[in-house]
Amino acid sequence: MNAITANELISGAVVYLYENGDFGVDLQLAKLFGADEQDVQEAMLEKTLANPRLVSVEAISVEVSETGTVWANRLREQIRANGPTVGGFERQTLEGADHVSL
Amino acid sequence: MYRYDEFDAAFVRQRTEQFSHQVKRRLSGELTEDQFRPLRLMNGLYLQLHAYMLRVAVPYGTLNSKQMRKLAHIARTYDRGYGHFTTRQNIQYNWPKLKDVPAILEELASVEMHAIQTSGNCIRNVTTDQFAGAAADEIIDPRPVAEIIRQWSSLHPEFSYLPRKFKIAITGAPQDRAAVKFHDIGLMATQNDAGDIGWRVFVGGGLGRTPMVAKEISDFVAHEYLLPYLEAILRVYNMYGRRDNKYKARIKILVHETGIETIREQVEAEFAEIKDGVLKLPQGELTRITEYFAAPSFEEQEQTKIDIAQFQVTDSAYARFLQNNLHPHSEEGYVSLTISLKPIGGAPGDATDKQMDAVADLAEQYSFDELRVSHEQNLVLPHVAMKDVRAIYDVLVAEGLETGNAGLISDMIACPGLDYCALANARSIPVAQAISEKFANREDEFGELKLKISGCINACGHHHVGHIGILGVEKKGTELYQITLGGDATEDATIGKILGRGVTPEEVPGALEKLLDRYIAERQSPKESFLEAYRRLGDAPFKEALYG
Repeated sequence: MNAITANELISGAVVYLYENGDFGVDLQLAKLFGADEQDVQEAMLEKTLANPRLVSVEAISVEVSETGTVWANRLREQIRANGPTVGGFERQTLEGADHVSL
Repeated sequence: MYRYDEFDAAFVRQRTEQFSHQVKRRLSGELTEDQFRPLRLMNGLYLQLHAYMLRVAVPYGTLNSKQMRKLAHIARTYDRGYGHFTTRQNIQYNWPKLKDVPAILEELASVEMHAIQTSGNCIRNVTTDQFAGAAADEIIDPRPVAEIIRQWSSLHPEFSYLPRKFKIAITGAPQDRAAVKFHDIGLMATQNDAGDIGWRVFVGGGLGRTPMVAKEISDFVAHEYLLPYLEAILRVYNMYGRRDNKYKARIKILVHETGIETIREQVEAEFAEIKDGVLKLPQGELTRITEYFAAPSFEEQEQTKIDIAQFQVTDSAYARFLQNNLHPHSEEGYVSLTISLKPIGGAPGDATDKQMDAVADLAEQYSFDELRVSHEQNLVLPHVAMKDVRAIYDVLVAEGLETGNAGLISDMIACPGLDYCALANARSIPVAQAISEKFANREDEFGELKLKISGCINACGHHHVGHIGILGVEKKGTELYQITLGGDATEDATIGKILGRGVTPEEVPGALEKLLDRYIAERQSPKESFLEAYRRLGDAPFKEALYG
């Protein structure tokens, strides 16, 4: 499965496309695209790329565990989703909002 | 140190205003990211994994206390209370917000600093020996020439869009502490038969995916002709350097593929055309710039030795600090003092705002208001009277900066790695932390040992030139770490050799333990360093120790 991710322009924070079309920082709320939804995913990617508030837009590979937790497959994406593995730093937050409207 | 003249101040102010407008236009949607990206990179602003990263230039690693306090203020006000000092003698902030960057640049400009040319395909910040202007073995203080190169290379209209980035390092001492042979151009002070001091010029060195030791292109260039000579090299590179392949665009590839003899002929031909033109440096200008770097008003010191032995029983941590963190000074009764940014289990190169403020206070009180950033990611008080070392140490203890490990295994270089960097394939910081914790009680036993860790083949952690180098790679979705041995960034420049198959992150400390135990077993005496033992023994015993 795939999710669509980006960095938000003002804060640089990692965000994901949600089911409702907003972008927010929680991977667990991300809209997931199955293998049979390539066309929908491509269309959403196109739309996202056109959004000036979003940078470094891409689709990433994810899996859903038996308990429903969404996991990014690559370590890079796990670190983007959870923050640095050292130093105790929280992830970057969005500037003045909890989501970015598409 | 150098102070901005009207031209410097105006150009930094104009650039700050210009970038402020560009940020506004980006935020309003007037500029697309494709249009904005090259503009922000020209001002040192990257987008990394979690946030923007701002890289601020510290010219030739020299700072005063006011500037350090400003860096602390920026960390506290616009970031998360810390900064990361880099192998380019710069500082990076990992969490700034785009809207705040213009204000940060204004703050920097107020203390004669900026982030210009810390990214992009231009001539980057000139680096040098962290003990420049203080070292006992120095032929000449390289900072005036470094400053002249900074002025020449800043916004140079011909060299703002080179085939690839371009790095220059300069050392005024025969013992190379600036890794000059691993830069696009390396300059090393020398004296000719007539007794004149000038520069040996090396070209085509570098690390990254194709590590190369620079080749000597000239054995003597006089001060007055240095800028035309550098200009000639840059012109040849700008003309013939490859622009079709990013991975073959550095001057090291041009030198390798063309041959140093041909490059030398091309450079000499260009040099002959321009040597007596506008770039020929009048002695008066060299003298004017050199005056900015005049030695401080040293006072005659009663104490001219430090008896380390007396502390070895009563205060072993202090004895260790004295043993490792002091460097001989040209002035009797003085030393240069390294402040390690490598506490056991810490992130190499990081300093908090409070620590930066404390170091600024120490510089002001005890080091003639001078500070240095080393390419090994430490800070240096260059001019410290021996009588003041204990007082400084006590402050360092209070600030958690007293680690007496300079030159030992835990004094390692490590890039930010996959925890922050958008280019990395593997993490560096947790591996560095695990290593320093593993050997915290054994590092004196190993003696001098340069360990360097990179999280990808771009080699920001200089792994190729570590006595032990560690390169993180991603293989089938997991991190693996290749170990290289025998690298050396000094005047005996050597690229390390890969020992064998990679190991997992958890296996790295144990793998190093096997290598170091073998070194201890094989060395001829405790005076034979790891590097010397490796050069004598070769790979075989270390391969056998690691892989059986």
